[in-house]
Parts: sequence; C-alpha cells; structure tokens
Amino acid sequence: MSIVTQSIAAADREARYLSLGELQAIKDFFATGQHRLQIAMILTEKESYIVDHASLRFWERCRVTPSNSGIPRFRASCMRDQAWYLRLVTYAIVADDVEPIRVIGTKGARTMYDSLGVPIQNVIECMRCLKEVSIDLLSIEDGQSVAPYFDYLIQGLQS
Amino acid sequence: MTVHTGSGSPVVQPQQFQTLPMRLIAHAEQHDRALSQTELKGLLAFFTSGLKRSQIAETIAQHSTEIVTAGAERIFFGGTAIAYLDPPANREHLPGYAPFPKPVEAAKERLKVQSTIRSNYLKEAVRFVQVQFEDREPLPNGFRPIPIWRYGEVRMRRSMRDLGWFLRYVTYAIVAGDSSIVTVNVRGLRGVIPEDVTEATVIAIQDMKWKALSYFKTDSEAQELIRQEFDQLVAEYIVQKPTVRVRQGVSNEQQGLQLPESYALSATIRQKFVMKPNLSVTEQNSVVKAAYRQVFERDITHEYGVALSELESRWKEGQLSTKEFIRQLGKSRSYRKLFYEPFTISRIVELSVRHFLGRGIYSIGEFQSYFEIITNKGFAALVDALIDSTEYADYFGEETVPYLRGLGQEAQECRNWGAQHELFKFSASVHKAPQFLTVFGHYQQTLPNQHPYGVGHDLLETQFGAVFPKPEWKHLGQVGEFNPNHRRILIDTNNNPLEHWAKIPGANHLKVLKLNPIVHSQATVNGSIAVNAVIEGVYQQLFGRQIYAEQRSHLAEAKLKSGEIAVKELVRQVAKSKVFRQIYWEELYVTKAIEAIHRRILGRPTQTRQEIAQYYDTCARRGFYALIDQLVDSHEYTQAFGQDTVPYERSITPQGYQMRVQGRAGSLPQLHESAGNPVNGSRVADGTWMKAIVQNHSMNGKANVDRPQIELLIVPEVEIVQPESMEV
Repeated sequence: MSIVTQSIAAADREARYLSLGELQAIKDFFATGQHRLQIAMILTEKESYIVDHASLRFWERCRVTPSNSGIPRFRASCMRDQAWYLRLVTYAIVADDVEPIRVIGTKGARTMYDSLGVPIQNVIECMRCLKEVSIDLLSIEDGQSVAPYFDYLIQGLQS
Repeated sequence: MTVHTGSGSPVVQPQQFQTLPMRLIAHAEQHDRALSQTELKGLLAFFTSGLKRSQIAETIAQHSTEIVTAGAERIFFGGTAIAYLDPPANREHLPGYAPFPKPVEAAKERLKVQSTIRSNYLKEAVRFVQVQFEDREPLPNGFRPIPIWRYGEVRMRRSMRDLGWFLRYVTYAIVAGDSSIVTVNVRGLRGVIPEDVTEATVIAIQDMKWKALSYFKTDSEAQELIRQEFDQLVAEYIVQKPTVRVRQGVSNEQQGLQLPESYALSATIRQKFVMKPNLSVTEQNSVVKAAYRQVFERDITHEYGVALSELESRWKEGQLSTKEFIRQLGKSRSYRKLFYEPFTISRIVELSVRHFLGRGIYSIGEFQSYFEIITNKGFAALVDALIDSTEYADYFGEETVPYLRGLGQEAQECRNWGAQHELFKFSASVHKAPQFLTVFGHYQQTLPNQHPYGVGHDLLETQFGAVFPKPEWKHLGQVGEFNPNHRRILIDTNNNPLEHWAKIPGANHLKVLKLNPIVHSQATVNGSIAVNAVIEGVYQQLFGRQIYAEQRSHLAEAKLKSGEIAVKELVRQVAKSKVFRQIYWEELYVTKAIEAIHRRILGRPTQTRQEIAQYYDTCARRGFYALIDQLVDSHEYTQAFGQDTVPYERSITPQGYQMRVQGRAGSLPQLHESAGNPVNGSRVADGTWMKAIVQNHSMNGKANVDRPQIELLIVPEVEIVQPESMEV
C-alpha cells in the first residue's frame, strides 16, 4: 500500500477527514513523484542494456548455473526473469512502496525456483548484478533511493 | 458428499479502492509490460497536481460543516439541519490527532440546537426563500423541501451523517486521483436510502458541490478536480441498485452462486480480451499475448521463439475463432511438453481446467469425469471436452480469451480454497503433486491427528497461560473441522478401556466414588466407612494427596457425615478452604490458577482460550470464591458428577500421559524401543507414538483418553452404575 492508500484506509476506518499530518506525508509523496518517475523511465528504457550487462556479470561470477550451461531455453528464461524483476522494481519506485515486489514477485518465488532446480543463491547473485548495473546508470543520490527496492527483492528471495 | 474438512483459506484482503498509481501498475502488470508513455504522462500529471489535490482536501475538511450545511439547508426547512450532524468523535488524546482550525460561526450555530418550534416558522420560511435566491442552480420543478419536524430526528441524523460521509469520500477520491472509492461506497446506496428522498439527496450533493467550489473561485484547475468527483458521486448515486453477479449452476455439486456487485467492484479490475478482426495491430498483439498467458501461464514467445505464428496470423485475420485458437494451443506440441509430459494425470487435469476454464476443480465427481476422459481417450479428448463444454460457451463464447475466474470475477465456493488460490498463482505449474485431489482425499479421511494449536481443539495439557507456545512441528496444510466436543479415537476396540486407564500412571486410584444417600442416612458402621472413603476421595482429587489433619475442613466433613450436605457441597467447601486457596490461588497468576482449579474440580484440562477467557471476568470482578462457585455450579459438573459423586479425572491428554510416563519411569511399563520417546512433541503430533502405545501396551489409542464411566463397589452404600457405551 502506498502512503496515499494507507492514509485513506486509516482515515476511513475512523470516519474522519485526512489529518494534517497525513496530508503532509501525501504532499511529500507527490512532490517526489516526478523525480521517481524519471528514475523509473531511465530503468525502463535501458532495460535490455541492464539485463545484458547484468547477465554477463552474473555468468562471470557464477560459472556453473543453468543459464550458463549453453541451453538456449534456460538462458532466455534467466534473462526474462531479470527483465521481469527489474520491471517490478520500477513499479515499486513509481508507487514508492515495496508492495508490488512482495505481492507479485517474491511470494512463493523461492519454492518456484527450488522446484525448477535453480539454486536460489544463484538467483540472488543474479539480482545483485542487476542491482549493481542499474545503480551504475544512475546518479549517486538516485542510486541510493533505488537500492532499497533491490535489497528488499534480494531479501525476499532469501527468505 | 459430507465435507469433513476445509482446505485452508488464505488471508484475503480485498483492495477496497484504488489510487491512480496502483491502478496503472495493476493494469501494466496484467499486460505483462512496463508502464507505457501515456500511463507515465498520466502519472506525471497526477504527481504535479498533487499539491493542489492535498490543498483541496485540506480546505474542504476545514470547511466541512459549512459545506454540509449548504447542502442541507437547501432541502430541509423549519429548523437547524446542522444541529443533527453529530460532531466527530473526540480523538484529542489519541495518536495522530491534529485538529483543523474550526470556523467560529459553525461552533456558535451548534449551540442553538433543536429549535424546531413553530413560532419562528415565518422566519424559517423567509430564510429558506433567501437561500434559494443565492447564486445556486435552480430547484427542479415540483421539488418539495422536507420539513424537519415531520422528517423525525432519527432520519434527520442519518441524512446529515450521509451528507457528511459523501463529502468525506469526495476528499479521499480527490487525493487518490481515482474515483473508485466513491464508486465502491456509493453505488447501490439508492436501494438502501428510501426512494422518496433520492431527488433531495441529489440536490443536496449539488449544493455541496456549489459550496465547495466557492472556496476556489479563482482556481479553474481545482474547480475541475472537485467538479469531477462530485459529478461522479451523483452519477453513482442515481444508478439503480446494481444487480448481483450470478454464477450459473450446473448440477447439485456445482450450484449457482451470487456475488454482490460491491465485492466485484472492490476487486482489482481485470480486463477481458476479445479478438476482433477490426482491432489495431497493437491491440491484436495484446490479445494474442493474453491468450498465451492464459494457456501457457507466461509469455512463451521469448522463450521458445515463434512456433505458432501461422495459427496466430490466421486467428488475427479472422479465419480462426478464439475458441479454435485456444483449442489448437491446447493440442500444440509446446503445451504437451510444458503441461502434459512433466505431470501425473491428476495434475494434468487440474492444470488444464485452469487453462481452459479459468477455475479450479469443484468436486471429486467432476474430477472423476475428466479423469475418465483422459484415461480412455487421451489428452486431446480432454482439451476438446473442456472447450466444447457449455460452461466454456457460457463464459467465453467464440471470441473471448479465457480468463481466471477468481475472487472478484465471480462468486467462489467456500471449499477447496487453498488449492484454488495455489492454482491461480504464477508458480502453479511447478507443483507436481495433484493438489485438488489431495484436498478431496482429506475430505474423506478421518480427522487428522494434529496438534490442536492452529488446527484442532483437542484437550490441552496445562499450558500455564502460554496460549501460543512455540510450535515445535510443522502443521499439515489442512484444517480439521471439529469443535471442542469432538474426540478423536484411533480405533482399537478389542481391548477393555478400563484396563488402559489402569495403565495410565497416576490414575491408579481407579475408584469412582459415589455416595448413596439413602443407604447412608441409616447410620451404620459400614456407612461411616463409606463416608470416610468418599471424604478421602475428595481430598485426593482436590489436592492430589491426603492433607494433614489440621488442614482438613472438619466442619464440612461432619455435615456430610450427618447427611446435611451432599458430596458436591463438600467439594465446594474444601475448595474454598484456606489451604486450597493458598495452593491454587495465592501463589499463582490468574491463568495458571484457572487451569489448575479447573482440572481439580471438573476433572479435565481447559480446552480452549475461549473457555479460559470466560473465567477471567469472574476472577477479576468477583474473585476466587466466585470462581469456585461458578465451576461447582456449572452444568458440566452436574452432568458429570451430579450431587453425590466425587469428582474424578475424566480425561488425559497425550502430553499429560507423556509427562507421567517420564515422571515414573521405573515403576511403569516403558515404551517399546522402536516407539521412541515423544519428548519433543513431533511424534505426538503425527500420531506415531499413539500407535506405538496401541501396539505395545494394547492401550486404546485415543488421542485423549476419556475415562470410562464406571463405578467401583467398595462398600454397600456405594452404588454401581452401568458403564456408558464407549464412543468408538
């Protein structure tokens, strides 16, 4: 739930108008909105670049992994998943909340990878590469604001 | 079919309304793509208008009383309508409280409450006429304002409250940038609010809009935002009561169900994809992608390259209907490889029902019919059967791409939920084990032998108030549907239950003592022996041992001996004695005290938290003696022991049994080596230790061993009662 949803739900539960404190938080959310959109747009535009470079970096670090075994299907799946997770991160940046990552992305992901026979540690390493490549593209402050979403994703996959 | 268990249900938290970012993200996610340029532009506009939106919300909240007054005084006359608006609850000392500065006039006005006196009727009328001539929209012809004195106080209060709520939801919608919160809360109200005030309500809303706009006279952008939400409010209000969504019934096992519109509205909106020849290329492509996502669960074009391009183009050109395309997908090599070869037949059936009908399997009967098709005629026949079914035709017809019919799409049955929700997840295709079949299997099994916390309601060993102990074993994902009155029995009827009870350590005083009052009243030598045995039994039960002579309640004993009081009364007196109070009350905290006293007096452990909770009140308000009275006077006591029986231990739990075995290891039969020692509780949970007991001790393997109701003769006065029939 984004801050807007949260405040409205809280206010509605108590049958009152949004309080000044809540409105202030919402104003902050709006004020940073444009900037967050820009970050999301950069990541979306550079998606293929990020995924390509992250994959290379990943295969350098993790030589023995299904996607590096020369089977094109595994390779394609790996890159598809990276693009998919990157997209979830952009959703989360736009919403300023980790809920999209949690609900769509990490719930049950571990079980899924386990049963597909993909070592979860490799997936996590792959996400780290994705994070590093993405952050390299952004300015230092932007990188700092984006990093927590990747960290949340990585933690979610670990648990 | 009788349903014994449910299959678990997820925590469902329906999203009750949406915000613009959330709506766009959900939409993009459903299309499996990043946010598009138009969506980004929309978001940008939303963010830039954000400051304005919050300011509007702030201003409206500040002037809420005036705005509601403006609406009310247009439709009511003959009194001060606003006096009926309940002030908001005082939240001054609660967290997050930051009051809006109140306009002074409104506060004054509230003081002149309830001035519905006819004498100033003329003044009111003049005021009413004045109001009508402000720069508002004219009243519709034939509208008659509602006189307050005739409308009644209750209805007035309700009306004013509703007007206030309408305004509040408008401010929410303005901040959220999406009017779904108004829609969810207002649509269908017309059926609830009496029809004769529909027109008046709409007029009041229009006037509230007018008043709200008057605070932003110079700001056209803000006016636009406000107008939009108010218009939406009116539009939602005047629609007729929405009809419920109906799920068609097919048979007794698949009955028709209704889903109220408000539930459907509050769910995330899911787009349905329909292929038509005149669609643009991008639209056609999104429909194609939707079809792949439905049948293959993910976008497989990346993964496998284009294998179905010819079919696809024929579909786009209109040579092939959507139904036929879906059929071809189902019979394709890729589908076979993905969803046929890696799975067992049962799971194949489950997955294909998801892919082609967009739902889970309803019942075992349905499963069996599909299973028969696939075993007799093969997989292609199953695909045909699903796609040619009337259900497919009813829901998807020729042109619509099948979609998942989950929560919010249509009413869901209150069964198989766990499996159904698993099936709709992205990860469904990695579960190899058939889930529905497992659930159906559980329906027919006897109750699972599981630990009560979280799943069942077996009797508990004294927990000392630790209501949620750390689970030491994993629960199965199914819930046993049984209440505190159920007992689980592992059947081993060949043996005499009494014998088993005798083997339980600490329960070797096998005598159930009942004083026969008639014989007893004729004071004989034998009689006094009997009475002494009964008295000792009472002490044994209440303290677990004999107590010192000076601690005994001599007065009560004498009364029992003289026949003045019954055994029940003796129990009460002894339980209220100083020594009992000291041992079981003064030294313990309240939960532990309740648990211990309950076991002593009623002869069984407390069952659930609810059961303990009802005693908390007694303890807190009326204290120890009232608790004793409550237990002794309880219906259960009377039923189990009546007036003349000494309370006895009626039930033992697995944990209790375990503790006793451990405590007296030397003197009692040991478990067989292979049976092991269920110290950590895991073997208690899965029931293996109980089986071991059945084998090694030929003990009746009940999960909770209830004591057989049998009376032992010790002296002539003690009655023999026929044993009750055993529950098996």
